[in-house]
Amino acid sequence: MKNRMMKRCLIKTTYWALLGVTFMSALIAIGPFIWAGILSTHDRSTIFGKGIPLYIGEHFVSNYNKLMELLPFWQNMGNSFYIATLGTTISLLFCSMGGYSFAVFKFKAKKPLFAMMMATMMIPPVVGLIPFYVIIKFLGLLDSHVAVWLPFTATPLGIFMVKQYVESSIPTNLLEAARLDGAGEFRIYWSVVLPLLKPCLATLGIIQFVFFWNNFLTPLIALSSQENYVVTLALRSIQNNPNAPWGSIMLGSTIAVLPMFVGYVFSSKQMISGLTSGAIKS
Amino acid sequence: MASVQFQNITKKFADHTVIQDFSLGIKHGEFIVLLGPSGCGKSTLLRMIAGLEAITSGDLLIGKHRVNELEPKDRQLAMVFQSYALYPHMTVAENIGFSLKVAGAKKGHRQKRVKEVADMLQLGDLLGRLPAQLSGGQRQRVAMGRAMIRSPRLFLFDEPLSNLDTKLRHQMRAEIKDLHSKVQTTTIYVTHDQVEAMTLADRIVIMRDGKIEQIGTPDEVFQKPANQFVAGFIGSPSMNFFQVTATQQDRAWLLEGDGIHITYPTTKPLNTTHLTLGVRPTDLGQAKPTLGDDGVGSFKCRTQHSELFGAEAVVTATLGNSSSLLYQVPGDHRPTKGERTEVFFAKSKLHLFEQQSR
Repeated sequence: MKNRMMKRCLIKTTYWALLGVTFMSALIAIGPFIWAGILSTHDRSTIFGKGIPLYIGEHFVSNYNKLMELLPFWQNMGNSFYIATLGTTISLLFCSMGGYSFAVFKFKAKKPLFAMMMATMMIPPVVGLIPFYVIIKFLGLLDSHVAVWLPFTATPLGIFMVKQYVESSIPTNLLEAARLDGAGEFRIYWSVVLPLLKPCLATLGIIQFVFFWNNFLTPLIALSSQENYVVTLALRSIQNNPNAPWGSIMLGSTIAVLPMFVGYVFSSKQMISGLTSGAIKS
Repeated sequence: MASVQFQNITKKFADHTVIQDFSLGIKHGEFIVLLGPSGCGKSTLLRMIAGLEAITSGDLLIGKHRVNELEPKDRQLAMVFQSYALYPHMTVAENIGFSLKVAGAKKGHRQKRVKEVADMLQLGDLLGRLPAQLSGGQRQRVAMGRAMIRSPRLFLFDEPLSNLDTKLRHQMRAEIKDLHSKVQTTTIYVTHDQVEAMTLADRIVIMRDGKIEQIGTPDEVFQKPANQFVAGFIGSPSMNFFQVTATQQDRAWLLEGDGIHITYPTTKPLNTTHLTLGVRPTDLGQAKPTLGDDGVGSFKCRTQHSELFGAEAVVTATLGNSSSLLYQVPGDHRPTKGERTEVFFAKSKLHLFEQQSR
């Protein structure tokens, strides 16, 4: 009897402790965003005044006007959107082709090639920055959007995800049936495999879009004119000012986060199911 | 339509030989069934015809042409898979018409052909559905429709009925037979189910360990099995086998074994004394056949148990000291446990095999 009560007490304590940790983690994660949202309604004097302003201020409109004055903000947002959309679309194409090939075709050095590709995931992106700069300069792509999206359209993670999905979810018989129906290899990929990859590509699409949208390091190296800037770089560029308009910067950051936030609300289920797909064989 | 020739075909996976020196000729319009236990190489053989597996050595001829190196899509044949392999994202109509679409057929022609095939297979009302919305039998029919639409030179079936329940299997069997008699396309059908083989085939090829054990019409392989393996594989319930010692007598062999003493009339000379005697449970009965005493033999046995299958029952009995004997009786004439009975057979229904033929 005493044992059972102790056990119940222990379960309850663990439950509350875990709930506390979860709540704290969530707060730490979303706190800065909420704070940025609040700060976008304040000017420098209240932001750097006494204490942390945790109330909605009155400078939203002036912050917005200042932002428009300092940056071609909506053009930068457009650039981000263009790069993220184009980069994501092309990367879905390349990753699906790569992953499908690794899953289905037999070719020389397939295993070492795949291992090498996966190993590149271990290399910190910063290490590749100088070679990256040299290559895009050599190709004449400096200050162009192509330099920001093209190198990231065939990602090891994407290829790996598609490979796993094809192996676990697309029966070989289906490909053989298409082959017997007279379809060539590209036709099989395009008409049979690609439509079946939808769940996997939806998840990969979200991951890639978020990556392109948030990407800062590559645009920093590749882009030099303000009208070509993506939103992350544009917002960073006005922080160098000694009198940096922090309210405007926070407003810009908040607006920049909104598309991602809305996207997440609609696709979180897809994202989670896609990430765990293949884990359980149905 | 096309004939098919296998000429000394061998297939190896690494060092493992799956098919060994396989030769067979299939005539125009023939319905051939490859029958054998799992792992005997029959599906590999089918996949080699389709071009889905490479041939290690030997020649495969479809029509008059050697096709060893020909791509699957260029062989003009259609295959029905065990799993049906329907494209899950395409409707029934799209599934059936896919090969025509790939071939670049015009939409109007495609729709007309799909409609024709669908009507032939009673799929007319289901053309807009996805495979997931169909029953097993309907999926099977779609797979057949997909195969039929191209008017291929050759139909290949890889255990197409194994995922269906007994009743549906029976129905589909009749439909496949019906289809073949309508289109008269050369058909190669792989199965491990002897009932399918017996009911569908013009000729059955019985295989074991990548080799042919016997080729013959259903009647031939049942009535005159070439060896003990074929005899045991064909027929349900399976044939009874007994080890016997044979001695040559005047115009007969005397067969003796555990509970067995039979004079087997034959003029053939005896090559070996150790034989295996086979007799089908369906050829044994409690009633004495009217053939005269010379033509009839009997076993005296003790009933162990019986299994009722409706109209018939299969009785398991002990013969002699420890031999087991199966025989079939009418369902309402089952002997009781422990009952001693005498079961009769026509000696012409006995099968004798040399013991090393197993």
